[in-house]
Amino acid sequence: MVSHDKPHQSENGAGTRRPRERTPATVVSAGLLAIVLVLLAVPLGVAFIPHSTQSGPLVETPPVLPLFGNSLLASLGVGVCATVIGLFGAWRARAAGAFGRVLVMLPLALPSYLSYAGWSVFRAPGTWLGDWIGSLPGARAGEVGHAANVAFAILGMVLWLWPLAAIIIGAHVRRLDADLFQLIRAESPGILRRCVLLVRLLRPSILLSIMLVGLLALGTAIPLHVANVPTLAISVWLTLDRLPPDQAWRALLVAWPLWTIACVAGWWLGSRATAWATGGRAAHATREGMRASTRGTLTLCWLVGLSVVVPTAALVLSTRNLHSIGRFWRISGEGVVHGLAVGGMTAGAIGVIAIATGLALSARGMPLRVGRGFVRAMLMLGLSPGVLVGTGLVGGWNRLDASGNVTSGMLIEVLAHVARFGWIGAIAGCAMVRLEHPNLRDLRRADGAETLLGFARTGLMLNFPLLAAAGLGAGLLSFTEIECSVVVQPPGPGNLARQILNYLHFARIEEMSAAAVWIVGSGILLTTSIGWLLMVRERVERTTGGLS
Amino acid sequence: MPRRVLALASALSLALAVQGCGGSSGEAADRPLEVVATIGSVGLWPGQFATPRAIDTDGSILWVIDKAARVQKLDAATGEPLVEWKTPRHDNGMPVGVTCAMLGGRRVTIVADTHESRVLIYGPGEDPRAEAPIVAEFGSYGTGPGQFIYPTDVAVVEDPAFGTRIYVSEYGGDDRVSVFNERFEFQFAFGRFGTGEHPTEVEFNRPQSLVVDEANRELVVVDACNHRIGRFTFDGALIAWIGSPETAGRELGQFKYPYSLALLDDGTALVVEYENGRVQRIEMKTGRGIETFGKPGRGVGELVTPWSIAMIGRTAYVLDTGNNRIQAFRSPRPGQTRRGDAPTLSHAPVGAGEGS
Repeated sequence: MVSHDKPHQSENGAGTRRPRERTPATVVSAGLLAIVLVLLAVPLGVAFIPHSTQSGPLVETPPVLPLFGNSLLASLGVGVCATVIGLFGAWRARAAGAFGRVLVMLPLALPSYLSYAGWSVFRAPGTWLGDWIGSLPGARAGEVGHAANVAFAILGMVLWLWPLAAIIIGAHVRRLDADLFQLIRAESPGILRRCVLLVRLLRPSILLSIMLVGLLALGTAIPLHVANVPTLAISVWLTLDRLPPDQAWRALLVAWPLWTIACVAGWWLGSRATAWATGGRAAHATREGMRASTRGTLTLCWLVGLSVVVPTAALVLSTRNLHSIGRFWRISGEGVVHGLAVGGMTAGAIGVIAIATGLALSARGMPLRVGRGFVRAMLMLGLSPGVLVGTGLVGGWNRLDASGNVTSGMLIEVLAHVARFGWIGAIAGCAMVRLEHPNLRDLRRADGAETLLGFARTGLMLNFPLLAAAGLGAGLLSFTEIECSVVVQPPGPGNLARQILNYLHFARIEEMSAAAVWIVGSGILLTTSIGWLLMVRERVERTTGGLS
Repeated sequence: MPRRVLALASALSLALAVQGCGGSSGEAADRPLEVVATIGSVGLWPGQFATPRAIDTDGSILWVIDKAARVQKLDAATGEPLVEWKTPRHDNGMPVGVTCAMLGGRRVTIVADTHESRVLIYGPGEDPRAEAPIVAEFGSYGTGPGQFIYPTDVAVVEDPAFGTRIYVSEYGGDDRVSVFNERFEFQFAFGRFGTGEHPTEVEFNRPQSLVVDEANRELVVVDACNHRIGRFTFDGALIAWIGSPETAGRELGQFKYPYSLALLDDGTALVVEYENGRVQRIEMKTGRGIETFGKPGRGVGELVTPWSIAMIGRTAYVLDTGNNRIQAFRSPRPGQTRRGDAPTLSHAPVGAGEGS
């Protein structure tokens, strides 16, 4: 059963082709990935394949292309702005040491809608901006107020997504030798010239960052919806709201630009990711001479302050009664606990998916093909509008399971969040394969890691920081996700997403502020853990990189 | 290290599970919502709804307004759609309040056009199957006297002592109730935004609906986001609060986001709770919870984010907003305001999920 291709490796393991293996562990992993795919793809297919012969419902078809134009413009803006800040952040994080790596993660704790709500406090009546807008003549005040809302909505998304850009670009920055930076510094006297050189050097990761961040923004309906910006993602949501479950497929006709882009981009990114994972191992960059600098840390603190501290402080300071924070727990505590429970289960599922993806990608034949297909499928789902994925899963499972066992409990929520954030596990799996040193893999095999239990004893411990970071990241996103959760969560007081959406809609800053304290508190705890785990992973890699 | 992290994660999961189980203890014993008729389903055809948020009745016709800005008139006995039209301007958002009332001796329907910051008054019209004409409108955006941010509901009192008064509730920063005379001239306002920690003060946090208690000469204000109901004199003096933000919950006598209520003829009321997904019967004098009907869900007799309620005789029509339907059930007592006899409903309850 076990077979190995002969590995080809250089002295330090860099540039080696990966030997293919097919062990019980890889076969079981591929089977597991196939089951996850079936659990997601079948209900989606059932929900979106037209099967009703009845006359169609009356649907107001929105102007798809103009709305798509708005969406494209907004997401491109978010992609570019988040990448500019992410580039800056990644550059500074390189010199800010381990602490910088944790700092970069923190803005993920404040979801875009909370960031938007926080910054919007600055345009409320009684503030300088709010009073100025209020002093403008009637129609002009409306226009300027709307423009301010749009700006804050974009800002909210940018400040939430720039860490993703920083992670993508940071990975590239860390692959560059410190000597190269010294050379650029020596050769280019002007800071502008140095920046241009750096951007050229990092062009692939910059473009990838703009693309990925932009694509994530493209399918996002909130906070642009709350800011009253007509986008295609919002129109899809409204259309789904007005369709009977057996007619949900009609929403695909409205959403076609979004899912077409999600499919094409997901396929392409998935292919790139799996090629990266199974390709030659990159050489370690020389990091000598690269020390943590106070300036780098301070710059990152400033960015994190803008992203997390300012909006959170604005919300908390606008709370008229601090009892509201305790009251929020009484009213919505059940929802918070429910959200954390679903987030925890999602985190566990993503961790398992990461392991299974990693094992499947290290195999040959069918397991490898399943692994590749899984990574592509997860990216396609992740880039699709959440409300479309959620509605499809609920509708499909309602048809497949008449007893309602799947859709009446947490299972549907975990499934939906796996569909939304499974790509994090898939990418972590790719990274697991990519970053494992060939010598270590050989040692693992020698240690009997050909079964899942064997892998759990050896490879799991080694890859634990990366897997845990991926799980926690997905858990955090699951906890703060609204668009899909609103659709899939069973009705009742445990529906935190619905409550948050209501607070946003009703502009209830009091409740929003209290919610922010709880959500940001949980988020900071999780993001700090993620940052710390990634640091540990890096340390492990650096240590094991010298094995050869 | 990883083992320690795993142990910590397990402990956290256990703690969460324990908390999750504990959340349901002491829950009020629910009575099923015995549905006698279900009207509507999701969609935009006549008789269908897209997130309906306002309902009232003139005794034989149900007026329903949904999030597509459609005003629909339906035959209360059959559920048959009679006519529909859209409010004249709805770029900013849709109405959330509708009230059938007598105004100046005429039967009118008043719409709180929430996101357009105004009140629309529709006349009776000659043909119930024709669009009702707008006979008046008042209000504009602002926080000044007679202006509104987001008006939510309207109540009309015709009293020999002071003539006609039109009460308009609003939220959005200036949460209050404004009072107008029959010429729509501003008279006075009461209440301000607040989170309700001072029970002696009149603070509102989204006063969602208004009901006139004719028997006791009181105005009832449903203070949704403070999870309580206020009883006021017609002059706006506070009589008592029922419920409080501090006691919000799911127990009997507690509320979570009460959105509307209907008064019954025995001094009790049916309160529609948005977050708890149920209808609760309470005693208005004491605030004591008597019983609850329904639970959150998508089946028959289950509710998702119910928004409002209207009564004809002993038939209560609950606006089951999240399920895009109206569920009619037999109330323990008839409504206080006599708006016709209970209709003989000719439309059978629909199956689970059909209306969702």
